[in-house]
Amino acid sequence: MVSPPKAIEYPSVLEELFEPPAKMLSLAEEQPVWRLRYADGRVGWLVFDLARARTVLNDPRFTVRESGFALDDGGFEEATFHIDNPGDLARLDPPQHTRVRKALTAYFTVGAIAKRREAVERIVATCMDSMEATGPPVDFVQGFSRRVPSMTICSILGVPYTEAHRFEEPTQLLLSGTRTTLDEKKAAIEEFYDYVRSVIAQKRAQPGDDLISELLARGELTEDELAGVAWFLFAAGHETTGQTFAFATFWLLYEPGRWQAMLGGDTPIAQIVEELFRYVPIFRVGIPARTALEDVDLDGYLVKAGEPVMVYQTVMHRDPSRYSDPNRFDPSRDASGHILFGFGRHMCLGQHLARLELQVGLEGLHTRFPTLRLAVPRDEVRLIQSGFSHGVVAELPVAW
Amino acid sequence: MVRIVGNRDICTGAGMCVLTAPNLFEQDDQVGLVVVKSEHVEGEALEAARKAVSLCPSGALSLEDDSARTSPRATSTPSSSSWSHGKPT
Repeated sequence: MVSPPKAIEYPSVLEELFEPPAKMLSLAEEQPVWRLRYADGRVGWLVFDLARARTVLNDPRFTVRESGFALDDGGFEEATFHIDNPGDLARLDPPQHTRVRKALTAYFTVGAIAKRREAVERIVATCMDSMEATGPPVDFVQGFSRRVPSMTICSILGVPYTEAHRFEEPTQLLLSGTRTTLDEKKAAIEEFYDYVRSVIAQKRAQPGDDLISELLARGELTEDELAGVAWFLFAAGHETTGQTFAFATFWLLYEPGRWQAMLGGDTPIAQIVEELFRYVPIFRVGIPARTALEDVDLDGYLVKAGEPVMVYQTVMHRDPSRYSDPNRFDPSRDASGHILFGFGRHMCLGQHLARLELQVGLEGLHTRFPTLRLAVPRDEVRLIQSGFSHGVVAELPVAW
Repeated sequence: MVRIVGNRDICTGAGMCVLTAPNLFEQDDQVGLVVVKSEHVEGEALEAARKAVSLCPSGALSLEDDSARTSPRATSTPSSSSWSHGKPT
């Protein structure tokens, strides 16, 4: 066992839009695990290599119930724990996590999501129609990248899209980092839960052809679990996909000609999307920290009970021992093995839906708007940074 | 020939195997957990199975030969590797 290396601080300033901080890349070259000072003052760990990351993300000796970030999240964590959350998958350990996830898995398999392709194609077409009707310039975030996943999750959960503000607004508030207070975030999450409980009550009274009605009929989840599940599906179902979509599109439009060059060739869209997932992840550091429940020997590094460990996703996606010429975007490469959707038991439930939305969305956009471009100078595009997000595009004005 | 073993007690239904090797794996309709469609593999199918094993997030997949378990090999290792770290010294 080695003595713990000196604690590093995570850079608070973004140097490059689409690149992990150079300093962190050079730390990764030096050693696979570093001590890291967390925003809450705790000193924990930052893991740069895949084998150890897999242990952290799948070993039951690590919990998700005490989290933490390298940078100030403005109370996001505390606010999400403010509500009793027996159904919020991101906040559960086994055996409760296993029980809740099992009730949902069948609806998010590769096969089950493939059956939603036509529905997603219709949603993408609707959003493109309204972009055309409005005419350029259009804010791509409002008009497309957030709208497509919002409409999709509305159709899955069986609520009208006119209600989307009921979950979009509190989500924005929760994710606004230090620009909103902890109290505002607590109020936002209460408002969000009020909405999901009203949806559940409505589905109980009038079941429809939707996932909430189906989960109610199956009766495997308690009322509180179902509320947590619904909050989780609404929140995770629209915002992460929307952010990923906007950031990837910003990258595709950042250099003139890139949109046409990347999407106009013979490379299958599935492969392009996978490389986008590897190359332009929205997260600043990566997956929220796990906390060791007992002392764990992380292949030579002793993580003590109570210490947080973060897996450094964005840097691991640039590991030259896994991807040749990793700092080059290359849609012809095999980008599999990226951990944009995490790993282990918490690997994203909706990952195949996110894939479908990006694939159908980008293909549709390239066909309808082959000349899509930024409608403002690229330096004027505003990015929201928070404790955990690297590239949340606030607004992306586009023209064609 | 090598046999693919899918442990449904460990499987979380992430579907990485189906995404990677749809000829070898599926997820059942009821609970969404792994079903090995084609148990015995060799050649190209074995390579696909190895990749699926390496991408499985829960560790539910393994490969067995006639005598003992074989550990999965890394799928694609670029030649120009620089940072691959083992145990600290």
